[in-house]
Amino acid sequence: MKRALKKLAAPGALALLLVAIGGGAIIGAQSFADEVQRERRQIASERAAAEQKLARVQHEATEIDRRVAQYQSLERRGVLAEESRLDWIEALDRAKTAAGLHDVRYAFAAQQTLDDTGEVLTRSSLVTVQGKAGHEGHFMRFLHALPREMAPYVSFQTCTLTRGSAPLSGDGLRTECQVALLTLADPQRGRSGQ
Amino acid sequence: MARTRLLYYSPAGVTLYQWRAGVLSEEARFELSDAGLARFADHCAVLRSGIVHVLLDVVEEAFHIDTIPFVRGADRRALLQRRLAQRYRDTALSTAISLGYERSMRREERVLLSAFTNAADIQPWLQALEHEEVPVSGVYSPAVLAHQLARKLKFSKPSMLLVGFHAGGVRQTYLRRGRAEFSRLNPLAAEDIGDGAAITAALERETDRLFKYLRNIHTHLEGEQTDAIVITPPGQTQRMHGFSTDTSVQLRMQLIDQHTAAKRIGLKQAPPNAGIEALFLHMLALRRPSHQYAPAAIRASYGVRAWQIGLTAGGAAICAACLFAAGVQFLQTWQMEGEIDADRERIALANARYEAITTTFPPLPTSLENLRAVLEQYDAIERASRGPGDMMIAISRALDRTPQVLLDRFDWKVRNDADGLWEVVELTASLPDVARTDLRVIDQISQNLAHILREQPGLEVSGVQLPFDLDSLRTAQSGERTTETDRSPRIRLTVSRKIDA
Repeated sequence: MKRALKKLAAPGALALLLVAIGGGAIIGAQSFADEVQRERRQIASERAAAEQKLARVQHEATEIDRRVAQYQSLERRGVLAEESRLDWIEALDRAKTAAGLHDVRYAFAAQQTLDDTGEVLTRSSLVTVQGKAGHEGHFMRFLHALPREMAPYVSFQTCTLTRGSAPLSGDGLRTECQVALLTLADPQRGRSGQ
Repeated sequence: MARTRLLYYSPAGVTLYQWRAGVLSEEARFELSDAGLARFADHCAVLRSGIVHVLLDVVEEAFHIDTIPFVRGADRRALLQRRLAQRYRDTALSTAISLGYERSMRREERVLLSAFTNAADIQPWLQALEHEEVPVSGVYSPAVLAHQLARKLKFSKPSMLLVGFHAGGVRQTYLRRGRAEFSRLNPLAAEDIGDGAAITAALERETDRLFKYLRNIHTHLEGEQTDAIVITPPGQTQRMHGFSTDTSVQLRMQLIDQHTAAKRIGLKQAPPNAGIEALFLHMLALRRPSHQYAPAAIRASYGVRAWQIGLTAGGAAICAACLFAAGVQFLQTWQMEGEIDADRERIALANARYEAITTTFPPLPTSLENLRAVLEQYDAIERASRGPGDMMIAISRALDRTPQVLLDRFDWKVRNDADGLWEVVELTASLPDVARTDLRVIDQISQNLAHILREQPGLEVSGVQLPFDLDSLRTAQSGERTTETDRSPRIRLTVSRKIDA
């Protein structure tokens, strides 16, 4: 038995060696395939992005002039600008005066970033404006004057108009509005895109 | 691949053949003497590299049909060994072949006990092989190969005789249901060997004699026709067409020339002096029968060799399969690399075209991506934003048509829910000219106001709230409490409009 086992040692070792070679080849091939597969996925994703980018730019090429003009308009208006509360307070006063509101009080909340998924950020400052108006026409004028005077984009969130106890006294309407002043921040602004 | 050798032992001597792909060639011939044995022992050393199958074609071969009780496993093996020992004086080269079970309640098994009765003459040759550790697959008899040969010749019948001229004489084997039940070798006189007419006469005579014997011991043969396949020496078939025996009425003779038979079973070439033993040797080389006569000691080296071959072949097969799979994987990977290269080219092309297009652009105030992002975000802000002005105008128009209603409170807000963006107004109004007790008028004015509001494009009115409950499903109650200075009834409405984002 021992002798027979001894005779089987060499073929057994050879068989193990052959199995190891085969196993090694499989593992090597699989590992190489995994690596290439990863690279392929990455390149495919890069290709899709490049082709998408090209398709977009091909589409945009026809209206690039209009877009640049729009962007510059936002810059001029102050939508694409840093927050300047001093300017905003002055703008509020101008709107109030133009509309004929009196006893106006306002409170600014801390600025918040609404969308930070991309490079361009949308920032919002919530302002609560309270005041008194002689009649509904004053309030309507205020609603029109505010976006005109303010540099950032004015987005009304809530507005309340309450009739006072003495409507003919001249201060018969109490008003309260919550307004979001929205600005855009573009870190690439001023650097040429080409 | 191990070389296949066949050792043929017959009264005429011992012949060692080599077999490869249907070609049988003689390697050495040894006479049955001490000198021949000594020469064989010397030759055994070269046999270690291959596998040897031993075919004993001798006169001294005995067959006996016996029945044993229905037992299995080790008990059966012990019982068969005991029966063989009882039947034969020397069981060194013996075997027991199952012939099936009796159809009785006890289900007894029919077995064919077979042994070479002159094992003492053969043993020295086998011991020489054993001593040199030659891998011997087993010791076989033409009887255990006869059915395999008949089937390959397409002459297999339920009950038949296989007859042919071997080197040692005329060999006859009786086969029943695919098993040899009897076989014998009748040696010819030395002067008859090589004489075609004598061989033909011997075939005729011995076939007749055997059939008479079989008819005596197997009564079922008495009334039925039995097939006899006679493999004739080369060129003797024509001569034997006049073959006629006393029993020819019951024996259905079929003749086949040895060369034709060799061709039919795939034996491409055999030594010219070999008889039909060449056919049996070819069958043995192709496929070993499940029964053989050698004890385990003689086959020990074969077991080791089988393991050696099995291990090496198994390892090689696994290795080959793995290499094949790895090759396939590499091929697929290589194809994938082709796709990667193609993608890289497309990326380069897209980038080049992108660059070409952007060079035609005017100077940009920011990157192209950010230009797009700024405008998209601004557009989204604009689309989602509304002032209360439009809603105020719409409600004012409605109030102009209902002079009984005086606006107390206008509460506007933007609501974002699952349906999208809505501007919603909670409207509170009083009816100064209507008595608090005039419920029907209050209800009518409220419904009228709601109706006028609904006429405005996009306006939806819900939650009309009166100073009292008219809903049948709720308990009726009076309206809100009022002070002495505020006696006019109040109504509340919720007006909404969807913002088209």
